[in-house]
Amino acid sequence: MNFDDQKWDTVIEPKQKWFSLNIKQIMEYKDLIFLFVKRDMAITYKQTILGPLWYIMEPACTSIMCLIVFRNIAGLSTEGVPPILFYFAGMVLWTLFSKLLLSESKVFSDNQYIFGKVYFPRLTVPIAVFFGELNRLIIQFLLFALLYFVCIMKGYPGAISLKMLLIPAIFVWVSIQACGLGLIISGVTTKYRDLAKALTYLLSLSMYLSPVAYPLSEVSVGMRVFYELNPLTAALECFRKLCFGNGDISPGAIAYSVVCSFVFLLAGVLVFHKNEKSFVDVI
Amino acid sequence: MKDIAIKAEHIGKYYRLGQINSGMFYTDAKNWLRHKLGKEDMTLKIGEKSRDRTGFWAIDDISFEIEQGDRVGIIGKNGAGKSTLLKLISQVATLTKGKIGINGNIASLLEVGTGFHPEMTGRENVYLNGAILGMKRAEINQKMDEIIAFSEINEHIDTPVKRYSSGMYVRLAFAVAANLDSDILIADEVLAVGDASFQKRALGKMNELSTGKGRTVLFVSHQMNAVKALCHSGIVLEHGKIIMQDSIDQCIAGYQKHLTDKKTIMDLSHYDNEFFELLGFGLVDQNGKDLVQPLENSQKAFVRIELNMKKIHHSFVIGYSICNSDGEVIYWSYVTDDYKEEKQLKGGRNILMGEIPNHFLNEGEYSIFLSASLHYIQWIVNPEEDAPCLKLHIQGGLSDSPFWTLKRSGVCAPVLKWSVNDPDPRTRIGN
Repeated sequence: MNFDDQKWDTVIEPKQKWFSLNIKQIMEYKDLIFLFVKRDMAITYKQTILGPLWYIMEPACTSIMCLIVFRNIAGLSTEGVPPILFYFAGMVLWTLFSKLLLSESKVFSDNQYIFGKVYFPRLTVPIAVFFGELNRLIIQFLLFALLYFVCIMKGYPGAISLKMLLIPAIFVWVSIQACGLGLIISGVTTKYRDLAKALTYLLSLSMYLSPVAYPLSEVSVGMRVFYELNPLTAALECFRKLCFGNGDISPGAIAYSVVCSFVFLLAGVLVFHKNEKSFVDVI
Repeated sequence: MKDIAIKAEHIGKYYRLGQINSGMFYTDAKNWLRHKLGKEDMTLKIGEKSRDRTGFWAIDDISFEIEQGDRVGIIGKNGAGKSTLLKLISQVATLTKGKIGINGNIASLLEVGTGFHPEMTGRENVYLNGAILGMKRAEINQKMDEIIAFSEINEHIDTPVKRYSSGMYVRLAFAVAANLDSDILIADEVLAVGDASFQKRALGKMNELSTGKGRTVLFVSHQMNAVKALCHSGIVLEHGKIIMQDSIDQCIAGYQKHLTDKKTIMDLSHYDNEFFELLGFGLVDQNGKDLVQPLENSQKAFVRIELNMKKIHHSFVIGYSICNSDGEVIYWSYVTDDYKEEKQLKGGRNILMGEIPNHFLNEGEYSIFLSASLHYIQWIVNPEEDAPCLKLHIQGGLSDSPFWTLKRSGVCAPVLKWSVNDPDPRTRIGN
């Protein structure tokens, strides 16, 4: 009987489709995604002193550092928002972006051993990484909400409105951006490993290049164009606009950033897809 | 006709040798540019035309069909492509050409315990490992008791696995794998773990799984006994090609014949080295004549080694290693074992004769490999690698007794002394 005349459950061929996203298969492995998330949570904070408190400690300490450096020494404005609240807002979004990007960029190197031994839909790993980071975001965001409440009690008028319901959309927007970039980098780091080292350094630099600890309005007009080229700028400004009611960003910059995010994600999934097939032979 | 479980058509897997890229972006980019400009690649060695020639086909254009319920053992030397083949079928590695069709779901155990994390408890690891292998949470819940029972972990199941002994770790890992439900099971050397009693139990479990549920099994192992016990048909691979596909007994016999056939054709000059030149390596009888095979077990045989010693080294030892047809080593013997001052090798021509006693080995086929080394310093001729090989076939002449004329099981078949009602206590059994 001819090969093609028969019915097969699975056909393995050398040329994989250029782009194929098997959502159904991934759904079948949702238990695995859940277990990966659980594993990552469990092992990150086993045998540590503070445990999950690190989720809170990190942005809190950085916010205090910002308070000293940007407010007290550099004297940059926070547009009338209590400085610590302003910095914390920036940190929530920045932590989401940087940690997610970093974790996604390591999917191959962290899992090369499993990938070389068992077949399962590889996309489950970056998905699990995303959900793992979501935990951190939720905890930090709750802390931010608490801080916001405390500031209101202390006399900050606040800017509570229905628009705040859009905040999750900002998180999705930043996550898409971070996942996409992370996956693109993950593909490159399988070949050039020093990039993984450079990445941590580049990330800490780019925190200062993004309006995390200062508003865009503090940036001189001539420099703004460059700032708006950074897709994270729009997300940060939008987030603060929703939270505090001020901040200025043009609709064009928002559209540009959103388009960028989706392009990154698409490219990231493509790179990932190309790599998941071949990297076992490369590493 | 039974349904086909796996069908491979002209599949191939190409591996490039050496470095795929220089690992540095700058060099890669430069080479890519030079390539585009039609210049020679700088990383190539002088004389090499292009990069494409440095590679090999790990699997070279093979086709086969495996029916549902077949239990197939894949045999071959290291590097014959066995593991690569399993990796291709289980989709861990990608095909270079051809296609494979599969009916039914696959559980592939290229290793047990993949994804185990030392910080997590046994139970958590069972869930994770099970999920990686494709089990649903509900399935694992259902099988948890069975898994714990089989692994004999019992109350330690909620302890982090980093505190397990290596035996416990392996037992738990295997227990998860053994409880997988799948139509096709692919296993690579998974039985090569744990102690002997566990291996036996594991083999039993594998057998039960494959016979009871009629699943298709693809099995790779270097332990021929395990393959024989588990599989009923076989595929023999060499250099990425199928050289035989038959019943498992035929395959094992054919494979072993193939191995020894290849090795008996010897070019002695191939074994020249700085210490000696090998002039002769053969089996002779008591009179120094070439041995007539098959040899009766009542006759002695001698391994004759003729050397031209070029350099005398105080640690130099030479002898042979003898294996049975399953590849198990029976013993090693060196000229220095029978140590006497006057038995020193001299410069120039030496003839060594090593006795293989009569009534010692059992009936069967044996391979004798030359072995030479500087004791504890280095191998000169490693019997387990590329050594000249002789074949010894022993048949008949087991004993003078009418009660022992046919082959018994066992590695050796010695005719040993017995006493019956002997008053002399020195010969009494047990003393």
